[in-house]
Amino acid sequence: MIPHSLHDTIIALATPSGRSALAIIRLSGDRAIAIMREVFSGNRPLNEHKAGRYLGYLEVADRSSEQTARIDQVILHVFPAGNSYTGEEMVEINCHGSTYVISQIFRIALDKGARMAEAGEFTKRAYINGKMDLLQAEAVADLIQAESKTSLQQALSQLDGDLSRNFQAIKERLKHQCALLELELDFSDDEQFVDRRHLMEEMCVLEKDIESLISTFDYGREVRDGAHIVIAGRPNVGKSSLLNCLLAQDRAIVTSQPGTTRDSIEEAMRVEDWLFKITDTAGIRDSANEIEQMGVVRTKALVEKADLVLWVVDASQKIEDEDIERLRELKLSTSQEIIFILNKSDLETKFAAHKLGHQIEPENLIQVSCKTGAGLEDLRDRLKRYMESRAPEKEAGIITRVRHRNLLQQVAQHLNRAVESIHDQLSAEFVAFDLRRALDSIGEIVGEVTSEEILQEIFSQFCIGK
Amino acid sequence: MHKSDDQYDVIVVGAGHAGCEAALAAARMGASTLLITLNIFSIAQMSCNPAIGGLAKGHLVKEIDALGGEMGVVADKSGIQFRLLNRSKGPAVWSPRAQNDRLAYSQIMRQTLEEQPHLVIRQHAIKGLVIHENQIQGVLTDIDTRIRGRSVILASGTFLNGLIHVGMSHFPGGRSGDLAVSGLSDFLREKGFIVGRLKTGTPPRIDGRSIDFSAMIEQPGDAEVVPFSHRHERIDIEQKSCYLTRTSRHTHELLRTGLSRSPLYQGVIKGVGPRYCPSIEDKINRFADKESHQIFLEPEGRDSNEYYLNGFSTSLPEDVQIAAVRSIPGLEKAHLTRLGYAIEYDYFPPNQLYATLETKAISGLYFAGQINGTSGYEEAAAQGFIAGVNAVQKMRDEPPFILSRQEAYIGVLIDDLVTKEVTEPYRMFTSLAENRLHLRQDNADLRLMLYGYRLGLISAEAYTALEKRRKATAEALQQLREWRLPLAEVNAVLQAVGAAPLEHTDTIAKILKRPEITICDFARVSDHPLFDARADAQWRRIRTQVEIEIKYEGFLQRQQEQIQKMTAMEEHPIPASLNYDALLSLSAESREKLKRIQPRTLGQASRILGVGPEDIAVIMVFLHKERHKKKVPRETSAGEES
Ligand SMILES: Nc1nc2c(ncn2[C@@H]2O[C@H](COP(=O)(O)OP(=O)(O)OP(=O)(O)O)[C@@H](O)[C@H]2O)c(=O)[nH]1
Ligand SMILES: [Mg+2]
Repeated sequence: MIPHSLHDTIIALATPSGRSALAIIRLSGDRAIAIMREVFSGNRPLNEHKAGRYLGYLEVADRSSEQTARIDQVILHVFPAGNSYTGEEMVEINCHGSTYVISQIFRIALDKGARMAEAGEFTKRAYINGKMDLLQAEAVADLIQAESKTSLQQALSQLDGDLSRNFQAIKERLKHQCALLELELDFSDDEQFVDRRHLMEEMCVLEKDIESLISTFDYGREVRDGAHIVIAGRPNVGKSSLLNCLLAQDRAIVTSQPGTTRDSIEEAMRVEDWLFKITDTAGIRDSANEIEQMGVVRTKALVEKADLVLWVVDASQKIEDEDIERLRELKLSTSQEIIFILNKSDLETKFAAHKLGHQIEPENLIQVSCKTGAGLEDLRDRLKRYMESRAPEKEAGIITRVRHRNLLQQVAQHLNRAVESIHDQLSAEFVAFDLRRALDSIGEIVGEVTSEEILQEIFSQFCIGK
Repeated sequence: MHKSDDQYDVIVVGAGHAGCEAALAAARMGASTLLITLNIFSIAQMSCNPAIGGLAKGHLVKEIDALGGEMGVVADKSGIQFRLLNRSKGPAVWSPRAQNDRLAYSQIMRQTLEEQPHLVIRQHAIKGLVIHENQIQGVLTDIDTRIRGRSVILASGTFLNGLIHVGMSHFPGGRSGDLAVSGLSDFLREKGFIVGRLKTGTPPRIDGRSIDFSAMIEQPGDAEVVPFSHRHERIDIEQKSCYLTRTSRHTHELLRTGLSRSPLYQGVIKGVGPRYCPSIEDKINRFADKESHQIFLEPEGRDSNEYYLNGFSTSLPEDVQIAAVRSIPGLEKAHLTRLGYAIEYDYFPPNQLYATLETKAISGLYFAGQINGTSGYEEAAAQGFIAGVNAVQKMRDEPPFILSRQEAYIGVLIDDLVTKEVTEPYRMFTSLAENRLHLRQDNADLRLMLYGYRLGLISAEAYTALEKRRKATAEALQQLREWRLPLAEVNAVLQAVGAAPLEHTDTIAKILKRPEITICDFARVSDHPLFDARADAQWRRIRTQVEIEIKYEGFLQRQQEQIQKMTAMEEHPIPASLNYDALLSLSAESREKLKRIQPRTLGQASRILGVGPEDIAVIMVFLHKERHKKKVPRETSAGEES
């Protein structure tokens, strides 16, 4: 019989590749322990029935000298089947991080019948073996990607099943209403059991709950991926200098020439618990230079997609009219926030900030000097408050996945239709039709309704080794 | 043992609603068919209420009829009252129902059977089957006659080890007045079949002369009858009425005095009864806060004076039954001609069957009807039809005849039976159909008649007439979607029904979308037969289709999209050869179930209780890999050719 590929023993490096002091390699599958037993000599023989930690050496037979050669001193963590992350037999090899050692261990394992894991395969197996539901699997992907503390917390709470519980509760409420309607259709001739006004109210409440869950999406995504900050302004105002200051690193070229930055530069940045993506852009002006023109087009596109815009002005200059005009050219939506950075505050201030308009909140007007570093703390503080102000009230229900948002939007749409049907006094089967569809969409979120696309989409996001 | 020389293509055991459809379908397809019954005078008996159809069941009858079955024809001919239920709701849940003359129904069906070429009837009791190497070879009668058959359809209803209860006394019987069959379940159990036990019940019958109908609400039939069968244009008969009355608190007290002698409450009855159709003693307990329950008096026949007490199924002792019945308004002087009783019987949990209703264990052996744990004549008839057709298909090496859940209630019924765990009597409900808005009684012929025609069970005339109507319907739809009447005429129509007038005219289809407007409202401005309420049946049918298509267009379209999403899973086949033991990640429970049920598609697998999405994922991933494995050599060979 052809061995079922889901049970091949797979191997992958769990720590980042490249040189490091220590590395972890994981093996999972029916032969994980058997493979290790052949090459491990340690303090005691490997026991496949008990979880345990073993200290010893990995050794291979050297064909030329007919002697065994030690590859490395390692610690093995053995997890019996049913008691591991994937639900299968697993061995975690803690070895020294040299590329040579790692490649040798891989070679042995592959020789003995293991194969390289595909992306996300460890987690896929955990899911398939019933070790986690789909939402938890997605949370693991987030955990791996979590680059800052808050996004880690969010991922952890989803892993606990907070979100699952939230969806389950919505599902139960829907199911109950559906059951009542079905009773009306299948058990009575021309009777109404369900008070339509009550049903309508119930549906509206549900719809609102779902809408509020949907509204957490932007925040959730910002926490996970980092809110997107775009630094923009006219040339030579100190945008690249600001980026370098915030990153505390000479990332972008700074010169006294206007039009230095041509292409945008994106970097990840952490401010206390929060993660941001910050982009320096080409200064906006009418330029005859083709490269610079293209840079300006790019800047405008980036500004449109930003969550937050830092509009930098040179406070030592007196050209506020043009600043205002340039700003107007940008298409900013109401959901985007804009903070004015009055740079070069070490020089004499000529810029009349009040001309920018009265509606600007004082907290959105920050004086800094990239030369002295003055005011940068104020800016960081402001960025922190930006994220805090966006946090929804209850942390339990934050969605971060496009997939979840789209499905929830579908649920809301179906509920909306059901309400419409009740309003139009249509009979129960029409109302039930949309309620059932809403139920299906929720089933899809929590993985009760499976389709091949869902699996593929989700597992493709994992890095190898998890 | 006497070996009969007779050999049949199909032997049907049991001449109830399943057996009759099975025998007729097989014989009409040209197979030599034998129908064996315990009692030739009780062919197609209505053991329970004298009615055919009803919620969701009416759909089944229409579907059986569209495929070329007999139930609808006989129900039309023996009907004494016709009603379309759920009229106040949408067209998808309208359900035809008829009160029937019990004797006439049996008589007409018997006559139909007797006149059917290729079909013979014999009165026998069957005690065993002849099986050789897991292949059916015939049946063995109680007088040890062996009759050879290439396939056998077991449709023995509630007769297997039937046990009738009235109060604490009980006796073997297949139905009140008929014998039970004892040897057959043991025989099958020995062959490895799993046998379960179910219970159902029936209410007392009342002498009409002792009923005071003036104390009840009369429920007459519909003025315009919707026939079950496509073969009947209209039904013009004088209809009999039903009567509605209610139990009182006093009734419930009287019933309670009998609980100490109730076989149900004293644990004598072990079989599981239907939750949705409880006995009256069950109702007063489960809905203790309800002060009264509806009771219908249904005539047993045109010339009979007996009435069936629908809603009052009971197995309480005689004295309690009489006292409780007499506490109901209008029944104070009631004379009970027959007592209510409960019956326990053996059934075979139907996931031992393929979707053709052939048993997985024995090739050529089919089970149909109540033996599979269903309740109801209509569910039984549908299975009988499917088993009969498939027995012949298999014999001729033709592909199995399996309807999908998306195209018929029969598809839902059979998929549920062979996929889910049937632990209480199974009954059809509209809520079980995912494609409910489309699976209507009015379009059963449009959905299914083509199959009946291909099987040779629907005449060419009937089929041609249907196709003509389908075409005419499409044309009428198209016309109404383009047809704009002058504004004045449109507003005249609107005004006549008190609807707000328009400022600009619109297509008739658009105007029809308003809930208060019907097609016939346009009769005042056009003499097109589509608008004419008195046009012939053909036009009336077209009108119904057109109106539903237009009025519910949005819903039907969205339903269609929904169903298309489902079909990907429904059409994803699982090869019968799949070795579930090789899929080690499956949980023990789902592996056991998958091996036993052997789902044909991923969709069916996902409906098995206890098979979770992670199990589906395992199978999906496996099939996916297999497919890719197979693709590789195919590609290389193509490369070699070029
Ligand atoms: N005195 C003073 N000079 C500054 C300050 N910030 C930036 N500069 C100077 O301003 C000039 C332009 O700085 P950049 O950061 O390259 O300006 P930019 O906005 O990125 O310019 P473009 O890329 O051309 O659009 C350089 O000579 C910087 O040294 C500041 O806070 N104070
Ligand atoms: Mg720059």
